[in-house]
Amino acid sequence: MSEHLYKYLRTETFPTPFCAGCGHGILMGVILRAIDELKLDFKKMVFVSGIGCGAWIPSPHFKTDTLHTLHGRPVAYATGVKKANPELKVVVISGDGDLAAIGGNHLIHAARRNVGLTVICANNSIYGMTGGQLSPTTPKNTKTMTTVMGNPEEAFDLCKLVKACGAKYVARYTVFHTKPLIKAIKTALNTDGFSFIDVVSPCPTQYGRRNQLPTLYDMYAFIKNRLVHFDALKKYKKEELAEKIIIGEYRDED
Amino acid sequence: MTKIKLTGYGGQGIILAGEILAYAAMLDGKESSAIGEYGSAARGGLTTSQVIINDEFIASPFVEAADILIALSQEGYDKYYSQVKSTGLILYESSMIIPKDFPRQYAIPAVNVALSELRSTVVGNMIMLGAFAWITKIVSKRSLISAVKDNVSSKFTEVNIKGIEIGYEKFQEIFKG
Amino acid sequence: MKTIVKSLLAPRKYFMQGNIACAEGALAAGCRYYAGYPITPSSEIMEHMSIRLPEVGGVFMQMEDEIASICSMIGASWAGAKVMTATSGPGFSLMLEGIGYAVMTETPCVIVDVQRAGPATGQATKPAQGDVMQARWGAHGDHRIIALSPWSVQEMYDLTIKAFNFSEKYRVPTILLADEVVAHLKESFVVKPEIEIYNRDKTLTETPFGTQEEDGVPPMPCFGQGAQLLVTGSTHNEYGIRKVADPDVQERLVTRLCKKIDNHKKDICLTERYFTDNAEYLFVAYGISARSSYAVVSELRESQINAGLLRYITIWPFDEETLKECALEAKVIFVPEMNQGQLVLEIMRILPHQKVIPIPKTRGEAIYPSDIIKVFRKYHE
Ligand SMILES: Cc1ncc(C[n+]2csc(CCOP(=O)(O)OP(=O)(O)O)c2C)c(N)n1
Ligand SMILES: [Mg+2]
Repeated sequence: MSEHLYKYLRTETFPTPFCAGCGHGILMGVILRAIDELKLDFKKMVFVSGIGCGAWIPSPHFKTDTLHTLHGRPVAYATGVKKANPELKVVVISGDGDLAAIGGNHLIHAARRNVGLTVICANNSIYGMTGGQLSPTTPKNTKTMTTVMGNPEEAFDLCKLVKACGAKYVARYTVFHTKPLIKAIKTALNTDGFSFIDVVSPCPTQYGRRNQLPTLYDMYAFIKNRLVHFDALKKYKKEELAEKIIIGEYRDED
Repeated sequence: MTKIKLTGYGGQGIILAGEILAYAAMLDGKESSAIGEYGSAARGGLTTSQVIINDEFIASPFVEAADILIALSQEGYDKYYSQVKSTGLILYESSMIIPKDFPRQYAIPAVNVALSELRSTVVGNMIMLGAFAWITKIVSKRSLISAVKDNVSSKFTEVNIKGIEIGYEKFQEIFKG
Repeated sequence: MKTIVKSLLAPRKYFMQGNIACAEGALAAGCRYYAGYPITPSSEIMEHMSIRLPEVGGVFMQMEDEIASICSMIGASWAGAKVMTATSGPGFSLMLEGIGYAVMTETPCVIVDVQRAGPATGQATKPAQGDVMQARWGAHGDHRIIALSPWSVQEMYDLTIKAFNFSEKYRVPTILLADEVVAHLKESFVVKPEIEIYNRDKTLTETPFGTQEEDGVPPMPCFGQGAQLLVTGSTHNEYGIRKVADPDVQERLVTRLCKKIDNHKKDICLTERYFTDNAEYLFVAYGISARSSYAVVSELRESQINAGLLRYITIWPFDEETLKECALEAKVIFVPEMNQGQLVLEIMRILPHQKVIPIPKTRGEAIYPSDIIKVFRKYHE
């Protein structure tokens, strides 16, 4: 991580616990760069996370107030923080299982209420921390510890879901898209109301390994081949989009 | 200590009457409690209010053996008249209830009086409270009226207060007889 | 820090429902954030808060469920507010994980459980005292909470204030274990001109999660104060740094979480005695069951029977010493409860050589004096 970001970090807690090839470290840096570029008052920011590898991005690494909560509940906690003190800038960073499975209800209701939160989903399409079980964003047909024959279920498009619930700003990028991702995070942090960013983050250890994608490079290629930009959606038929990862800002469809 | 049970069916204002009575007792400087209980049906089911009025802290707020029963429906009368102490008193709505044997009970045509004198189908409860106040002297009429002012929305205070006044005046002959 | 403040309500006598008195007690204690989910027989608390909180500059949130309710209020507590939620059995079950989190992170918060007849949905409008053990042991892991049991509308007000005070002072979730009867009972009660309240110590500190003493309560700065708080429900040291495999840190933390309550029982344990000196027949009760017990004891005393009542206001932590004192001369100890026997287990454990008779009732009705007398007669020669 570049040195000018050290002031935001408890460097004594380094190295981070993330595995080789994990995208969560990149995401950590990207979030801090967005904050740095916006010159936000870090002391007045609160980072709320649930339980999982993604939840460890802010806690204990960020050198400000962090609230490491229960599995699935960070959005509910964050709602309380924000409502009790609206002057605080409240950001949720947590995993896909945390935000979309056990915490899915809180996510959609916070979007509907338009609580002034930015929620960043560190989406590795897997339960990383508990050993690689199916998550609601695991792509169809791919393998996990609990779907050894391939996932028979459809995955959530979290952006579409949250957008439909009324979120003011919604975007998805992968950790390989650092520039547009920083821009999106900045937009999210400046949004008056509920904003959501789904960040595709590779997990070679728990997801890749079981899908013949054991290295970061394999995961990169796998992700890259599936990318479609939101603005280019019209060029595709619905069936063609089944396995795609849609990136870009989700705008209101007209 | 006086233990009172008010009973009727949902819609007759039993719970409100219990609360007005207990509130009035508080205004008179006493300790009082009220427990309202609705039957399972939202409207028309058996409804009961247990009221206790005492000079000091009320131990159990439950009315098991009642000193006084005010009954506005046959079902409530039938269910509770046997729980009234033999030295107690029953006031019952005469247009609705066929009474059983009891040493001291009075038939009060509260519902008919409400209709004929106030064109109201709902203030039978207040007429009963007025009658109750006159015969028992447990609460003052003045406090009952203040209790209505404090607890009933202003649209309905007037008719409720009239109910109490009529109840207080009208049945004195019945009680003497 | 202890301070005296003016009551919000004008000081006088009121005639009020228990649930409303509870909400007013919370506001008087300084509650400025409420999050909840509707459930009978607690909903009036929430409805009243929804009107009153905005009037005093507070925040009311109706959340998507009870889990969200307790979590959001814990978040609000760390943002500096005094917080409360209210529920009944089914919702209380959902809140347990959050209660454990509040214990572990030492977050002041008040949970009102208006007990109704269970298990499961049970009888939504009917009273019970079935959550006594759940309140004590429901959250997983070894821990302590404080639970208070009101027996009147007066105490729905007073003990809600006390619950906030204990919660702020000891940084522990405090449960007001009410029941449908006291919640819906309307009776007269008095609001005094002034009340004593306790506000948490918000001093900036490096160690908001540990103290030198093994039973201490550290100061609790809130978010935005510059404390760089590391709040976590995982095992942590005094700085808040996670130590999820260090046996010493785990032991020190759990010991302190328990001892900060156990060693302050003198302050926390509230009981009331009625004629317990030399009582041959001792009634031990709490909540609305104690009202009926009090009626029985008064009646027995009038017939020259040596009966007494020990009423538990604080039920958790449990005051063992007072029980032993009151039971010294007791031939029989009766424990009426609106359950199949919960607190009586604690009493039997503490008085293994005495005759302890449970008086259980699980009919979705309060225990009436006649229920108690019936059992008493069997033991009174
Ligand atoms: C109530 C509860 N259920 C289950 C768990 C176990 N658990 C811990 S993390 C986790 C999944 C995390 O997945 P995700 O949110 O995607 O984060 P990741 O580790 O993949 O970054 C689970 C199931 C828990 N801590 N609490
Ligand atoms: Mg994941």
